[in-house]
Amino acid sequence: MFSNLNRMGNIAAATVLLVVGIVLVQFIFPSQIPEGLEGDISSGQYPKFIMFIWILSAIAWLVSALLGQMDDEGSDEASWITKRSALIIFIVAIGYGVFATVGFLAAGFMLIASLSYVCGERGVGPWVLAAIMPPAVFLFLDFFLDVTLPTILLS
Amino acid sequence: MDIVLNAVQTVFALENLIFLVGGVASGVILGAIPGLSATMGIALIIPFTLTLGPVPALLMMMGAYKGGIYGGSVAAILVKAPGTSAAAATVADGYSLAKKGKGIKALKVSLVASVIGDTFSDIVLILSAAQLARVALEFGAVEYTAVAIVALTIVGSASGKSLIKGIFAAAAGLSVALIGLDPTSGLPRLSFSVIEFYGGLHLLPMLIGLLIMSELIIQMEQVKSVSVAHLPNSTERDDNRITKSDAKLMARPIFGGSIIGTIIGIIPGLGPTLGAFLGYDSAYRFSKKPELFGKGSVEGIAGAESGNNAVSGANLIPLMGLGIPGDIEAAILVGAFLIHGLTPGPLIFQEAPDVVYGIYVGLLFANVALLMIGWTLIPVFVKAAKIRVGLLFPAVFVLSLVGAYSFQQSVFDVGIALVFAAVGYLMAKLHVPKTSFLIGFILATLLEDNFRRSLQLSDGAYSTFFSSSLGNVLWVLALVSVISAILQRKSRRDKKEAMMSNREIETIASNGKV
Repeated sequence: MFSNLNRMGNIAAATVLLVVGIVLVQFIFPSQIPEGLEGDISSGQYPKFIMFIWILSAIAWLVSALLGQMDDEGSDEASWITKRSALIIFIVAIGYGVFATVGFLAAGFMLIASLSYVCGERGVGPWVLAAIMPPAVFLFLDFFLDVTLPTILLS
Repeated sequence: MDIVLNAVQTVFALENLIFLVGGVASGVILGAIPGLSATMGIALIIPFTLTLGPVPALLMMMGAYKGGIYGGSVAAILVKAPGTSAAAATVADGYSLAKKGKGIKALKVSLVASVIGDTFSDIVLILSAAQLARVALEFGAVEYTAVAIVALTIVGSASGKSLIKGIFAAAAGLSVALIGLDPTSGLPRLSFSVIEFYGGLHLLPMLIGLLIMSELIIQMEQVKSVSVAHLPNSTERDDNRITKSDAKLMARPIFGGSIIGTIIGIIPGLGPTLGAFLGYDSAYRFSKKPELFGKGSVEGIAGAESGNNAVSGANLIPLMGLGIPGDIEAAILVGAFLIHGLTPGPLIFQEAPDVVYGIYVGLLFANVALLMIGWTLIPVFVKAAKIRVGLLFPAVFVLSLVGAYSFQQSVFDVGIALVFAAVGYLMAKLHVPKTSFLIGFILATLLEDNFRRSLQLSDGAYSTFFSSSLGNVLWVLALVSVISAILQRKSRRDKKEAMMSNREIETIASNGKV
């Protein structure tokens, strides 16, 4: 089962990266890479040289995956997205939203409390940590490093 | 001589001493916690050094690096869960000794071996980096292009399990570095009219996302409530200290491990894990008591720990001499140098000799600090190894958010860190080496500047890259590293297949008997 997961993952990743490489060279580079100064012939050549390695290695990756040469890479992390990992990624995304809109104190509280819960921590420990740590970090940075973390109440 | 005395004075100024010792202590504690590592430790410390001068900031991070590598062995010995992959070789013998009530002895053996290995490689660094820099100053654009490509091929082929993925990761790192301003014309490149992209992607948020956040997400999805077995504590005096006979046994493996680790450290991409296993292997080969290996051998711990710690100083040789980070930890240190306005490489010996000598003196003193801290604070590290990671990981995650933000006080940087956390997560799942990606990103400026200068000087003729004899030697080296990586992987696969078919034959034979 693991080797199948590995193979499918590798085939999918290599295909996506190959397509990304081709799209970059064909459609993005012409508008996003400047011509360069007059007489400078290197402006466009260097990015193309890099993308040449990208595309070539993506093709080699795809071929090796199709031939099954990457199946034995190990399977410890091949379980891919579990319910817990999906939940963690979701919480982190929400945490960033809260950080950007409401501020660090709310984001810190929410992230510590919810991620600890997902990690199996129960009882008062996570709540105490979530209540104490973000304000402590906030004050430390403000006083010692002159860094003010975003907090809506302060704006 | 004056410069050395000045460096000694700088390092021994109270403030710098506090940062150095603080770095070592925090490195040991972070390294001792299963799931955290020396790499994460130094990446986490960088944002808190932004307001410091270059010498105290670099001293703190190098202290954390040394402490972190040793710290990995604490968890390996006490809870059979290596805090760093480099400490995996220590698990078998360290934990076996701890089960016999000799945990303190194992920690002391590991500490002494780590400090000696570290000191040896620091001395090699001090003696050789300036010489390498002198040679590098003679390089032209073509040679520098070749050096960058050689470094990328060696790192790409040595790090990770697949050569193809290693090379791809390096190319991906180089292409991400394209974002920003074109170095010749100054026009925006791949910026998509986003002002924040005009200055290019900064290394620090990327490091935090790629190395800390992604790793924490992986650790959090695997976290289990680990019940730590209660290990016996012997009251015999000899079981808690290094005896004369232990010291005699340790000498040879430490010597071997130190040399092997130093050689491994000089070659880009190999890293402390290989240093540890080769150090362990050499201790086994030359041991008079090989039967004790895996069952609590002092020699095994000494070989492995001197091997992995000796990598740390030697790792800085290509960094200081050529500006090429040989390992992920060295890549993080590049970030630290750049943040403080310094570019590691041959010119640093002319531009900031005070910093270089400050680092040298600091590295040597960090070893003394590690010995003292390690010896006196063993009970604290024992507690750190048994900390509730379910509480710790979310807290560290929040700290890493803070780290990404405080670099430029920008929410955009936090977003960049999270994007790279997702990238790092996928890279880990797909076994794509992050080391190659990061080193590709870091070497991009060196490669692009020299690649373009070579082409400009030759009116666009690619044959210029093969016009220098030293350059040609370097191209051959790049080719050799790729071919040897292919052959090595092929022979490993053949061996594995042979073992599997032997096992199948045995299974069929035993079924036949039944």
